[in-house]
Amino acid sequence: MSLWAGLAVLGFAMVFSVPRRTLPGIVVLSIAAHLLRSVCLEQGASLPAASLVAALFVGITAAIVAPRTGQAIPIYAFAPVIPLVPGVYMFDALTGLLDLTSTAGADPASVVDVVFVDATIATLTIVALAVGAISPTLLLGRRIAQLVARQPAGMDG
Amino acid sequence: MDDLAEALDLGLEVGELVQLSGGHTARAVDQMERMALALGATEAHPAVSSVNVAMTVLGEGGQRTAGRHAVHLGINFSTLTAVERLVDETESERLTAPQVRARLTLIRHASRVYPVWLVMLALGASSAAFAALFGATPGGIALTFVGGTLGATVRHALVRRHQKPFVAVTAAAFVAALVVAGGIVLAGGTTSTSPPALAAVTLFVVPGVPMLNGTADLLTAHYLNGVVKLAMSAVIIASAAIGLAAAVALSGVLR
Repeated sequence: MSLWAGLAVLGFAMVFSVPRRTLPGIVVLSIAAHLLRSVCLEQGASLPAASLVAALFVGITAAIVAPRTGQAIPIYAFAPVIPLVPGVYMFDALTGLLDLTSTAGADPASVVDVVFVDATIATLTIVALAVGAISPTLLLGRRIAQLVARQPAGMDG
Repeated sequence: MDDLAEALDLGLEVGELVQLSGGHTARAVDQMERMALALGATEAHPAVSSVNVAMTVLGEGGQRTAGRHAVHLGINFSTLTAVERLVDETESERLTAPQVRARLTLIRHASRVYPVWLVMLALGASSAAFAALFGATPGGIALTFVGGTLGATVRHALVRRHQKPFVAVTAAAFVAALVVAGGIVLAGGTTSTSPPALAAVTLFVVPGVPMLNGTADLLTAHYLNGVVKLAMSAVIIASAAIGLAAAVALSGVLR
């Protein structure tokens, strides 16, 4: 199932105009992040917590790999987390809202409950993805870049 | 143009390119300052808003201040990489102002990394992959591929005609969702029983980079720019929701 995440990230990577040589790395990182989140979910973590772990993995990897390959960090930090966006929860929250406008159907109070829960999970997950993908760069990016500068690797660009 | 004016102008050019290409505010500020200092300024004080970049530089020639209009136009990470390398090289290899200007011109006019048709197909494939991740049937995955590709094409066409994000995203989501919802209904299903494909087909409009940049801006204390980017993301998500809801409602009527 996680292999689909590799395909899902391709279109976004192309829209972001990432350099061609970085595509394989982005796909591998995306698949690994999805696998990691799946493992966390199987271990009983909530979706936002599992997504935070996966996004932190992406962010830390990007902060290390990007300077060593002479690429901008967002190339590896941003695209791979896009397949982790909680689309089903977002969709369910939206359709729940639309149900509220319908005169027929379920009890409005129960629909509101479902919408609130879905929207909360979706929002917290998106925040977790953003914080996880970015914070390693903001906290460690300059230090890692300085370390890389002391130990230069081959620039592949 | 004297040396200080050159440092100011090229620093602004760097900030403009970072801003245009989807860099977050701290990145733009950092690279503007580094470029100006590398070209001879003794102090540089950049200011980046959601629509402008400005900078004051100090040096032997006194003090100069200038600004440029720089609206975020899209995302181009290849440009971000090229600008970052140029700033690094200007610092480490002492590039001259004419050399920097020539390189910036090349970066600004670089051709597309991928052809448009390939990007549209790839976005369709991404939508289909999302549908598979969400548990859609093979038929749903195929519909999502078609819907995602058409929706992405509609958005691209409208953005090229300088339509606002609200219009482009609403129309793109509507077309994409109508293909899937219509296909499901024509195949005898109902939109309410086939959410994975519908949930996936509009995800190509998810404003991932503005949301991440907005968060980065908030975390780096650029609060105003962060709020602007998150507000832009909210408008895009709401636009997608409107397009999706309209398509589902219309397919229900057709059914």
